[in-house]
Amino acid sequence: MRGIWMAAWVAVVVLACPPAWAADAPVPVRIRVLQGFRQGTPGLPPGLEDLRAQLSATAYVRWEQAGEVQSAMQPKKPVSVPLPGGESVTVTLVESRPGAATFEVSAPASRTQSRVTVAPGKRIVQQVTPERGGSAWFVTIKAGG
Amino acid sequence: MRCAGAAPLLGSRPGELDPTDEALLRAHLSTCPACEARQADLLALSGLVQEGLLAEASLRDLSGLADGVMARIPASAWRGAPAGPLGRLLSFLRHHRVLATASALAPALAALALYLYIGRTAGPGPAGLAIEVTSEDLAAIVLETSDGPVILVGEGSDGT
Repeated sequence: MRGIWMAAWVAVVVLACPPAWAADAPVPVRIRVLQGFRQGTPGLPPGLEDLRAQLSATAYVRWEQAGEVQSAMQPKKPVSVPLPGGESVTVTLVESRPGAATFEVSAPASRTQSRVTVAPGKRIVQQVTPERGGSAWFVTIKAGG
Repeated sequence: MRCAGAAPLLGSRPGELDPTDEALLRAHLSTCPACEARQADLLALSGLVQEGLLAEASLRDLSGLADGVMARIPASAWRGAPAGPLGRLLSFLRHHRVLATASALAPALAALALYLYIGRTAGPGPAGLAIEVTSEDLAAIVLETSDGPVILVGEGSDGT
């Protein structure tokens, strides 16, 4: 009888723990800085082929990658991503739980702030500067590396 | 009484023989020095054994014997020993094992159901994803694609 009680309470503890544990676990995140151009020869560099479905949905036809940050992000701890020209974008992992991660992207250059929840393997593509001279800067965020 | 009849009675303790045998033995010993000597030897030996056992026992500290024995008796061996509400509860559970098992497993199953429910409702899927975009000056447009959202900002109505 004592064993049954013990097993039951151990089960309760184990079942109650995963959400709390998952919420605090670091999440591998890949952040890339891209520049999109309205003019030029349409196409994607080989390194950006995985972004084709999202980038082809925009009016920009030529793309270049300018930087990349890979980090094991902790919830509530912002990561600053520098943009060429001295500007930067702040990416914060707001919350991580099994099956979803919520990111907050703050782009002072465009005075834009977003909060997006994505599933593992999905990617956020966000324009972080206004268009200037036919081009704009973007960041892509992918949880899970 | 002869020596053969007296021999089994030698070494007997006081009061161990019936009065008749004791009288016959006493009469025989008064006339038989050999049996009297044998009787003396047996009594002396019995006394030595008794004294030896007492001496051995006195060397041991038995003051904690009772407490030690009581401590080694498992609580489950007590029948109704714990008094009060706890004792009554334990007694009830002891006699209603199925109900006790069910009540013990109920919170575990409830936690499992809650965990699965939360995991299902908060899991991935277009309906569960949330996108909030705030921009002070520029219009923001969110494009949903199979690989994730695309957030565009721009002054024009076309968003780019």
